[in-house]
Amino acid sequence: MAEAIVLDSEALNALANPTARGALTIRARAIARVAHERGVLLRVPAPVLAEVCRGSRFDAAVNHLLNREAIGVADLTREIAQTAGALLAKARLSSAHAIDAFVVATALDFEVAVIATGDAKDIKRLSAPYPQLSLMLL
Amino acid sequence: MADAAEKLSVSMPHKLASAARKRAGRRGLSSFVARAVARELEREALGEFLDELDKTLGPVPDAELKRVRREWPKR
Repeated sequence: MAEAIVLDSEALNALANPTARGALTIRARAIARVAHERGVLLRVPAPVLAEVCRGSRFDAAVNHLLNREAIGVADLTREIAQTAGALLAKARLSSAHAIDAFVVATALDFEVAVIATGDAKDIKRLSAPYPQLSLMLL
Repeated sequence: MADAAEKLSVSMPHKLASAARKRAGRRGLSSFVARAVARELEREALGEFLDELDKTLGPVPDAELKRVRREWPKR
């Protein structure tokens, strides 16, 4: 599959709650705008929703954004889950980093992908061996 | 469950139709066109969402857009 911007929880929150997130939102909007100019689609790995959907107050904004169908949710398939496990093993990280691993494994499902992330450290470690992946920090 | 398929009749320039048939190959023209339409709908929805944010919050500063374009990975 072609090219995508894969959003982690910070990036999704910045777009879902644009008035509350100040500078993060401006950066996330700029990344989304440039992706749009280039015809690149935005994807949220399904496990990221486990990080951001923590009750109706939080869910409403995320649902409102996702229901617009401007950003697709990438389902967690068996293949992606197993790739995530392999990534954790390779980077010697525990399951505490599982969601970061799902983000990187989802990005690997595309020919090339940019990961928009608020926390580069672990994502960087997990994605380092893959030249088709790049990071954009929020 | 997958959506039931609906048969449509559409017209497009001959050159575009041949290029689409050639590119779709064995995957079939219907699934090729369906994916292209889904992609375009999503792209338009994203554009509308970003335009709305520009209207309500003010546009993203040019400097920030330029910075992202500069940082965008060169392939």
